[in-house]
Amino acid sequence: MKIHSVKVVVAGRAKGKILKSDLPLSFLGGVDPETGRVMEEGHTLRGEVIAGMIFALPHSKGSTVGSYVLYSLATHGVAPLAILMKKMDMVTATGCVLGRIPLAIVTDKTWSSLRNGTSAELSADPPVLKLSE
Amino acid sequence: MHDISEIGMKVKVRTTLNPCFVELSEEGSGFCDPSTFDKQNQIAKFFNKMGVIPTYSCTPYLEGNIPKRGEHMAWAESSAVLYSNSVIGAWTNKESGIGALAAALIGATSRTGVHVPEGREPQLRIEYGGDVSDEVKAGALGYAAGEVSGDRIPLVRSEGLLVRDNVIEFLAAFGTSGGAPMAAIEGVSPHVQIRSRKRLPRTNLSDRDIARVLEQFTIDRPPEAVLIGCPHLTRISARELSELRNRTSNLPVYVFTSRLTKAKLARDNTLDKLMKDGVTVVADACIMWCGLKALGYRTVVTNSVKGAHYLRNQMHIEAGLKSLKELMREPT
Repeated sequence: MKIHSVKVVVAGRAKGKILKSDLPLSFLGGVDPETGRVMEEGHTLRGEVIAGMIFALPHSKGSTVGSYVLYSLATHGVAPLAILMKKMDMVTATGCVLGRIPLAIVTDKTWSSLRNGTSAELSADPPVLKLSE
Repeated sequence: MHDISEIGMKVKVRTTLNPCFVELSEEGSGFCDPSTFDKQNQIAKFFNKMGVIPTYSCTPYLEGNIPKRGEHMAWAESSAVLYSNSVIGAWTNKESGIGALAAALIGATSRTGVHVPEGREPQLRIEYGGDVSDEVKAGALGYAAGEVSGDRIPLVRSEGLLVRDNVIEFLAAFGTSGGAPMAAIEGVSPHVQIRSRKRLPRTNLSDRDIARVLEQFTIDRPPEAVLIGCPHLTRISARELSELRNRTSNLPVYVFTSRLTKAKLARDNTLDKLMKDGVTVVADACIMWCGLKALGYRTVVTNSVKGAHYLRNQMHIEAGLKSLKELMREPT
C-alpha cells in the first residue's frame, strides 16, 4: 500500500475500488439518481455505475442541482463510497455533506497515480489515501 | 426545510427563488401530477415563512434581484452565476440551492473561489473569429468554450458576442459544459485583471468546433413541439418572438419565463399577442417542466444549447437546435 496525503473536505472512511473519470461530470443529467449509472451522452464513463466505488472526478461541471443528485444517490443507497477530486467545488461539497459521502482533494501527483480498479482506503484522521500497488 | 421555517429563521439578505418544475397557478396545476404540485406548494410555504421572495426566476439579474458590481453573493443556478460574475461584475461562486439558502440565513458565504481577486483571473485565452449572430451559434460557442476551459476561467475574444441575449445563451452553455463560475469576455466583462506575467495558453476555436457541438444535438424524428426560454425568456426576446410568430411555425410553442417577466409582457400586450398565436407562456417553471412528461413529447426543438443538453440527459427527450428566426420561419 502506498500512502498519499489528501485534503479532507467531508470526513469519513471508505474502502473500495477506484472508478476514475478523465472528464468532468455534472451530477444533474450526468448520473441517474436511482441507480448511480453515468448517463451523459458522449461521456467516457457512460454506462458505468459509481455506486459502491471510490469515485475519482477531476472537477464538476454544469448544474448547481448536482448537490441534490448526490443526496438522492445516498437516499437510494447508490452513492459512491467516497469522492476524490483534483479541485473542490461548493456544489459537490454540499452534496457530499447532505449525502454523508466522504470527499477528499488529491494532489496532481496522486491523481495521476489513480487507476481504475485499484484498491483504495480513505481516512480522515490522519487524512490519507492508501492505494494498493 | 420544514424545521428551519418552523423555528422561525429568516433570511438576512434579499433572497429570491430559482425556477421550479411547474407553474404555481391553477392553470399550471393541470400540467403536473397532483402530488408533485402539492409538494412544490409546500416548499413554497417554507420559503415564504423564511422571508424568501418567490420570483421563481433563473434571470433574477434582469428582474427581481439585480446585483451591484463588486457585491458578494451566494447564488445557485449556474447561468445566473455566470452572468453575474462575467457581465455585471458581482461576485459569486456556483453554490448549490441549499448552500445558497444557508448563506442567506446566516448572511455570509465562504471567502473562496471568485470571492477573492486572484480567483477571478483568467487562466487561458479563447479566440473565435466566426459568426455569433444568433443565439444558437452563441450557445454552441459557449459549450465549446466550456469544454476547452474545464474548471478554468477563460478570457474570450469573439467580436460578434455583444448582443445581451446571445451573451446569456453563451454563458448558460459555458456553465453547462464547463465548471468555472465565470468567463471574461472582451468588450463585455468589467474589470478583467490579468496579473500573471506568464502568457495565457491560447486556444482558437473554429467553425468546425461549433459544428461539432451542433452535431451532438441532431434529431432523427420530426419535432413535436418548440420549447423556448432556457434561461428564462427575456422581454426583448419575447417581443421578437411575438413579431416572428406571425410568420409562423405550425408546431405547438411553449415559452418559459419568470412570473415578473410574464406580468410585464401582459402589460405591454405581448402576452396577448403570443397567446392569440397559440403560444403557451409558462411562468415559474424551468424548461425541464413537468408538463413535458404529461404531454408525452419525445422529440422537441429549442434555441438553447443548455436546454437541449439537459432535456436529453436529464429528461431523456430528443432535443434539436434552431434559432428563433429559423424556428418561426420554417414550417417544421
